[in-house]
Amino acid sequence: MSEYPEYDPGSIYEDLRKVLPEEVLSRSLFERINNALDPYTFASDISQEEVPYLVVRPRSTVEVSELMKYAHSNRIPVFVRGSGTSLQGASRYFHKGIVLNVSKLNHLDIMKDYGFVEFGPGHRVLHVKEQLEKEGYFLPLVPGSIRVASIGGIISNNTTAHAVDSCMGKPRDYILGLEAVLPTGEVLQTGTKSLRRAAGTDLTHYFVGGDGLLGIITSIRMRLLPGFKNAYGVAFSDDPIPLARAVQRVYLEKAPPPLFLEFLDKRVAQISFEIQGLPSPPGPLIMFHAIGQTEEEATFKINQLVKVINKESPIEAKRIDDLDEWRKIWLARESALPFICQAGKGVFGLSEIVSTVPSLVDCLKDAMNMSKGMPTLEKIGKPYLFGHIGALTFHPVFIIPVDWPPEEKGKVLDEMFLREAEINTKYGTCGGEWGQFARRTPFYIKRYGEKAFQLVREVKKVFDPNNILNPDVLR
Amino acid sequence: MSEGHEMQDQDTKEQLKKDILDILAYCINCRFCLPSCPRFDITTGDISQGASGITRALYYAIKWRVTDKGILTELRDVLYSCMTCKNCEIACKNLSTGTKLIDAIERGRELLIEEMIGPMPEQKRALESLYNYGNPYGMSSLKRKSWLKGLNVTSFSKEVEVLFYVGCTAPNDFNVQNIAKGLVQLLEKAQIRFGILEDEICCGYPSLKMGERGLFEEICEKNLKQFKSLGVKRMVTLSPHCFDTFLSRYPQEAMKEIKVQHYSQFLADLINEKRIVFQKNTAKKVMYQDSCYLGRYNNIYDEPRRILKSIPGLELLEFRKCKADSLCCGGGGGRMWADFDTEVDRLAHMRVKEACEMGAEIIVTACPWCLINMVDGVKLANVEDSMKIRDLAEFCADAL
Repeated sequence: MSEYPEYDPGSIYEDLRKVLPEEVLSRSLFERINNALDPYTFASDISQEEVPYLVVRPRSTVEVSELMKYAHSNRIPVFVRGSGTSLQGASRYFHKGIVLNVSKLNHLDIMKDYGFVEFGPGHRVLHVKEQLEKEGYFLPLVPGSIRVASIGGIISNNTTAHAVDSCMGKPRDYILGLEAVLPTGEVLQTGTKSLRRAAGTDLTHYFVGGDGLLGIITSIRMRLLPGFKNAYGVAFSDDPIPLARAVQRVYLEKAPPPLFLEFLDKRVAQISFEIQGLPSPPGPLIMFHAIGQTEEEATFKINQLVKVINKESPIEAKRIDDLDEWRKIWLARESALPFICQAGKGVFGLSEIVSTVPSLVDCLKDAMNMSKGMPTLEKIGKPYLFGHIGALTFHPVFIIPVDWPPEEKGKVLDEMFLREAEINTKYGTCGGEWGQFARRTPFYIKRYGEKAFQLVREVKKVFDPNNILNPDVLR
Repeated sequence: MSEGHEMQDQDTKEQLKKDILDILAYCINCRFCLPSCPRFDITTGDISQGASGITRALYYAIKWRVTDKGILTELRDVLYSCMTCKNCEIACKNLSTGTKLIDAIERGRELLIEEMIGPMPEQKRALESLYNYGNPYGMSSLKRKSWLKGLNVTSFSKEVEVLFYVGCTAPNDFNVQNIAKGLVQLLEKAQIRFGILEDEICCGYPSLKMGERGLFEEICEKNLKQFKSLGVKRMVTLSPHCFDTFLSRYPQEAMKEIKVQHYSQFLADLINEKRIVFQKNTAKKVMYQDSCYLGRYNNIYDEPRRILKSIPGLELLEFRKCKADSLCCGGGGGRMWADFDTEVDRLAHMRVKEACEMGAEIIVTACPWCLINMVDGVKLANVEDSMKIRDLAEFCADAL
């Protein structure tokens, strides 16, 4: 039995109409459905019982606060939603509730004098990136879904996505402060307006990487990061193992950490290079992108990387000076997933395997053999493999035939997340891009123990005594 | 209705539903299509108003066998609001699973026609007119020919080299007539032996896009019969919509003997062969509005630009979103006959504002519907004194 009372959507609408303007409320059936889907709906359609009562698209912190006060006092679940692109199931709901869509929380002020930018959580990441680039700044958030992903979700997950952590860090390293609305409706300011960040307890850190469990972020203050000069390189091999060893060397020999260091296995490299009109690579490859304050610095870093990578005797490792060539190579990486999907006439299941430096070679082998022993994954065969090898992350991809029944597609996802958990447990790692809960909750419990999970629940209860905010994230 | 007919109707509906669900099985709700959807851009931010939000609405209406009239009417309003500009499909192909979203939308419209829910109320009159008069504007055959007054245009016969397929919009709209007249002037200048159909009827595009497939097939049959009896081997269309319909939607086998071109392709060839040379200096800053059905549907981006660049003195500027990224004018997919109150701006208006900001003096289009919408955009932006909208044919004729 649900811990929440059942409500009539009409009465919720009428009640909210008293405290919120009509234009921020949507009762449309199709809008409610669309706000309850995630990228894995192909494996399980939502049921009519799961359609949210209402979609609310507040335009200000005050409106968010009004909504939360109402939801808290009536014990109605509220699901905070950006673009719904979560790949670990955080934007899938199993209770009836209200969707709080953040798309209209979209202020953006670049405050050069202070050295920070303030923005709402509803922007698409790409939009913020473009606005900052116009002013000569760099946004250290680079998800594959940059065109659609909303920046609030990225901050809640504390992910820089494709970037190498040891070069770029995590969003938490750049966020100076936040405004957040608690599940009870109170508004909280955290952090500082100074570039000198708070020492000691800073509630900012509860929300950045808080998986959306503790409050609704309504404004983010982030340090401005000046733009960089860039240099690029690529290495080809006939075997993936030397490439993994080369990445280990980058760390062990103190080579300058690149901004990006990406891996494509042979199949992915050949499909995506062909699409971009590049010569077919002989096997797997890595591509890397270094940054510096000057072109000389960036070039120096790339040369250092090439030198270190060459010690593993790849077929070729080189700096790329032709920007057009680099753009095509980078596009090949970016278009890898769509084109392997389309070549395989299917939809994808994507997982996230994270390694340590010493285990990188073994982890690569485990990722390549991920299907082994998993009955449904074995039907598909070996996964396609690419990933941010410099950030010690692999993304094995399973292309699921589109004509498989949903239950079978669901089994692919279940087995994939189970194997992902096993491998990450083996190496003592956890996801570095996506959140820790939703589909991954069992892994969290296994990895950190019941006590840790209980503590998370108790911390949530302090912020959210009625457990109304994103309750299905901790499923 | 007889029992047999009812069963046949039921089979058609079930087949359409199956087709739609099969197409949408590829969609993973990644929403990569949404930022590309112009319809989403001009509404208030509801996901169900754009691209995969529309197709997901259709998906669940079928899955849950929705019969509630109010909800189906809501579905109709979003389904018919799509411009079929194809931006979503291109985004999906480049970034995701390559789902044929427009195919699903078109079949969804057919399904709503079968269910007697579609098309939009204002579109019904266009379809009735198409059935009764062979054009969506309720034009008599006399009016259809009125634009020819003062011109020496012959009817197409076997002795004539090229069929000039005029389409329905030019004869119906005084401003658009000048496009047809301009093209006649250019063809005469190049000494092309061309003719028009004595009794031209619509290509069927509006019926196809509004979901009235039966009517489209009837029109298609009539046209093919006429083309065959007249021995048409080469056809030049004024509208990109007619062009795409003949090229891609008519039976390939029946059309294989006929070379179909949009007039911009035909003119580009004539310029290349020096059969048309522009003499007049036209020192203007011009922006070209890519038509969706020329550009994204048929990859015709260079020909219109080559033509414009061959005009002496002309400076060609580009919109920020151009070619494959170009913004639709808002007129495709049957929208010339419908208004949608969920829209907070007009695409043509946005386009005109951008052209003004970029310092353009003239926007040139190569599509009658783009022209009509852009003229409205100029009025809405209140820039009639500083911004002119011209069609490529008319503009080129003036530069001779």
